[in-house]
Amino acid sequence: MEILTAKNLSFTYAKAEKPSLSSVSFSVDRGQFVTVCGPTGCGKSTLLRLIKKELTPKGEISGELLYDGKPISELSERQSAEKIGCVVQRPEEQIVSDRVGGELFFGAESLGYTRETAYRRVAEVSSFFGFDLDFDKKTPELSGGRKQLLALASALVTSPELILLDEPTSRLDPVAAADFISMLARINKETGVTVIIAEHNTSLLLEHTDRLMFLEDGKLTAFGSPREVLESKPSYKVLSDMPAPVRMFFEREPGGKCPLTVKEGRAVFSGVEAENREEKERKDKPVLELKNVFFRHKRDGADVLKGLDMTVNGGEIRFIFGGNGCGKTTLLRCAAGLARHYSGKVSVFDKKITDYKNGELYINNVSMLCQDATAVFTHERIGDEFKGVDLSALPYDISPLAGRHPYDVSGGELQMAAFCRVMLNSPRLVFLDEPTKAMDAAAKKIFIDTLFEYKKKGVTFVVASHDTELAAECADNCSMMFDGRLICTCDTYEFLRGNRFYTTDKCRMTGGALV
Amino acid sequence: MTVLKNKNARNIIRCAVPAVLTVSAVLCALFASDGRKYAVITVIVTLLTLILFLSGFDSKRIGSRRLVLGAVFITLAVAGRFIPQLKPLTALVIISGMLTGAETGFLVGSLSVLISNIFFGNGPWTPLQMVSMGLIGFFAGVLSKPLQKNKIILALYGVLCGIFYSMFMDIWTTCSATGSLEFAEYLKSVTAAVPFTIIYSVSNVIYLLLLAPPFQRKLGRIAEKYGL
Amino acid sequence: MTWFQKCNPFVSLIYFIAVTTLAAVYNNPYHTAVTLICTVIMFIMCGGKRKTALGFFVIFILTFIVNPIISKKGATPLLFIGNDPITLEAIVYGLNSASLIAAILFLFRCFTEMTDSEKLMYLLSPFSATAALTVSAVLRFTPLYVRQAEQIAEQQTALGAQGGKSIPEKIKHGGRVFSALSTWALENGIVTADSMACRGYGTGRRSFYTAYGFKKSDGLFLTFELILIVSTVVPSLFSSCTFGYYPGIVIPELNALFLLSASSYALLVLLPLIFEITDRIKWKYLLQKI
Repeated sequence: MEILTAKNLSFTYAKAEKPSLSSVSFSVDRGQFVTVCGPTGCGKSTLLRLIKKELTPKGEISGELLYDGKPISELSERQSAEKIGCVVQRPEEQIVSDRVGGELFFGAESLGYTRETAYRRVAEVSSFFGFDLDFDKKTPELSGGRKQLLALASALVTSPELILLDEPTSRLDPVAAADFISMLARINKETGVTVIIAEHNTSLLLEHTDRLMFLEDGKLTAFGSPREVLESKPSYKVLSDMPAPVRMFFEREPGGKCPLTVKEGRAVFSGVEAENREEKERKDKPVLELKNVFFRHKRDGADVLKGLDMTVNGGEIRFIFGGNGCGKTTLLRCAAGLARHYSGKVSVFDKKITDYKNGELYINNVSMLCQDATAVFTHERIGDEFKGVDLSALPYDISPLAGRHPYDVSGGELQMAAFCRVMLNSPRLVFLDEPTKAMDAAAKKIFIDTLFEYKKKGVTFVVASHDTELAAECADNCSMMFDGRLICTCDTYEFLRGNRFYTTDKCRMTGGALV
Repeated sequence: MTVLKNKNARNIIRCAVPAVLTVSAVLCALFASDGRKYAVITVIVTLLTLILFLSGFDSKRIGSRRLVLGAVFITLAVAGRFIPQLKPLTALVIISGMLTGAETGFLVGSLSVLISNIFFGNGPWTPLQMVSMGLIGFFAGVLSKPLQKNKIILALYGVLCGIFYSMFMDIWTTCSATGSLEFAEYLKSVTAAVPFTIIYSVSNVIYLLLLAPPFQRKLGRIAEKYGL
Repeated sequence: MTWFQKCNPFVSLIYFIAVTTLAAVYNNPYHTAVTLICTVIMFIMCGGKRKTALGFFVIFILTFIVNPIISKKGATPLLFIGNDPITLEAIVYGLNSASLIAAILFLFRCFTEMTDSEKLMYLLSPFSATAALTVSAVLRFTPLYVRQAEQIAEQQTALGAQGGKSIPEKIKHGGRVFSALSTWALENGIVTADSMACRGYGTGRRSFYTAYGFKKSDGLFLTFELILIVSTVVPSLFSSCTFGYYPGIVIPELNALFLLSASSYALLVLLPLIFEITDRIKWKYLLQKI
């Protein structure tokens, strides 16, 4: 039974020259789990927006898009709201109410359900998601992962037949992302809701996927079950969106069936031999030292940093791992002089951080890029932040972005532009807070190349991240943060091999032979 | 509350509350021969206006985007009231009315006063402040086109709003402090407040001229991008 | 003062409006005194802060002093400042005014303490679901904006763009942060609005559900409240309860009607305290049973 059918669907945004989707045809059956992937700007979001008519942007549509045999445009507002649920990328902004209960009731209130129906639906959904205990909680107090689950739960209150999700996990940490996807898969399996999810990191999704859809420049280049797609000689671009077992399979070509999950991958790659590693001997002077540092937000609050010690050497790329809320961001802010510790010593380039006066700390010395790259931009055009700078001479050429508004470019492009702006004052020590959040594989590669370019010039980086694969590619040393302290610091290779959870899929599959 | 469950009951409340309030306002005026009747009547009458205004909005169905933009302006205005020396509330109310329409303007004006008073203290004066600020936003929406086109008209509107708000609130000051609403008394408090009115109006103009163009650009961009 | 926090918001709103209106209308030292004493007790029971009380006391003193100095009315001059008389009547009137204003301030502080966002929305919802929803969205946005403003300010500092320490430069920096914040807010507002539209906002009339029940005790309170309002107002219509200040002080006649009205008013003001205490005793008793 088909729930959604597209026939030669094309869409061109108003004022755009190129179509964002060009003659896309596919059909989705009821109860299927469809994963849409492709690089940023490939038309994933556009496709989802066309299915949900409230979100359809201005532009020209041609071809057919049928929901349950009827054109989407002929659905009534009420039908569309009730039958098609939607969850978008950023959990923060899609929540309307200040209380969890209010948020769950929102859909029922808007559609004017009777009191009985509304309570019944909300009660059911909130028990399923475990929101019954948080019902009176304020929404800003929830963690990012819980917020995203709340968005999903409140979309389910109207009992939709189809749920659309636009990169719902791209801003979540790995643990929360895994929770979210497993919940989504459970809902799909148990209630039979059709799921269409756009995501560029498919490692969590592949095992649940019935149909894999790959879009490239608005064209549908692959559509079928994951096995079908992978057996039809996928292109390099398709592969870069695939999880580690698949990528490794195509790199090494061990023969046999392509593994889709880490578990299947372990059977294939467990015997792989370790690579020879050159020993790195670095004897650089420490540029950042924290000794017995304590920090708390309020006088009567709890300590966030509890006697933290850290030493970072010149020219090093240091990654800091740790659970959500363990104090990674606070550590960076303290080390960058943006938050003041109340006890202990922080010194940068052999000088106490408090001895830097009148902002000289941030000229040619230290800089930081916070989690939200939009905070960098205070002007209306990206280029205005780079006055009097030759844009094409930067390690990453941002001249194509110069004339555009910061909110009009993709997440990855914005992050790169922000990174370049941070490096503009030629700092020698840079703190990055989750720099690759919302970046696809291609953007990550560009980021790593740029990072190395600066490293060659002797810049030291301290990066707070959840991305172990990124660390495996570029970090010299990694630290693990827990309970307000760094509990271990060692070479990246040793670090990833020694961990069971904070490690890469590659390392998991090969038993530590490769990272 | 059981009454709110069905529509009929809601409609009855909607009609009954203003009616009851009107009756009680008249009653108060009748039996309170002396003292603070003016203060009480002023509050009741404004409360009535406010309720009538706000209940009129549901039928107009403000769209989700305009509603959220209204909420954004209210939040910015309320947050702005916390910054010392920087109180752009009136200017933001005018800008929101001018850019998002009269109804949203009234909503932004009245609710930003109500919400910021949660922190600064609500009282019998709240309905007065709500109505006057709401009207400032409402007329900014009515005069949207000339205000957007001409800076001088915008500045003039800022001055007028400053004078209007001060004089409106002086009604409250007079009748709450002296218990009567004699014209002489009122004139006294108006003259006493002249320096504040001037500072207030001038700051309105400054904020309007500083904030209106960027907000016009920002909202214009969003209107173009998302199609408002 | 858990009573106010737990009772139905409409029931308590009627109380606040009735007490304020009646106290202001009678404008009688007796009513003012009763209201002031009660509201101060409630203020303390609500956990009101000493700093707030001090602020109210300053307002009280100022109002008290200003009236005798400005007002030249009154028949009994006590002393002269220059040519201006300070009259007994003006002092009494000033004392009454100051107490009344202080009482209202205390009363509304209690109101502020007991209304959270949820109650405000509940009170607004029968008049305007749009307004209620807007309030909810504002309360949702406020902590987000505070955090984002901090993040922008810090990020700009880290970029060495926070400017100098002089006041114009600080204002310029503040303006830039505000501008960036509003761009961010408007942009993200669209996401919120879309998420509302996705869930059917605007497809029909909105309904509004809350968990505020109407308990037996709410009904009891409401009944007492209404009876007491009537028994305060009606007798005073037939016998003057007003206190004359100018030119000379006129104390209303102490007849049965006045006594009925005045005692009803006292009971009305005391009503929440009575309910609070009964409630506490009831719970103690309940706990003993368990």
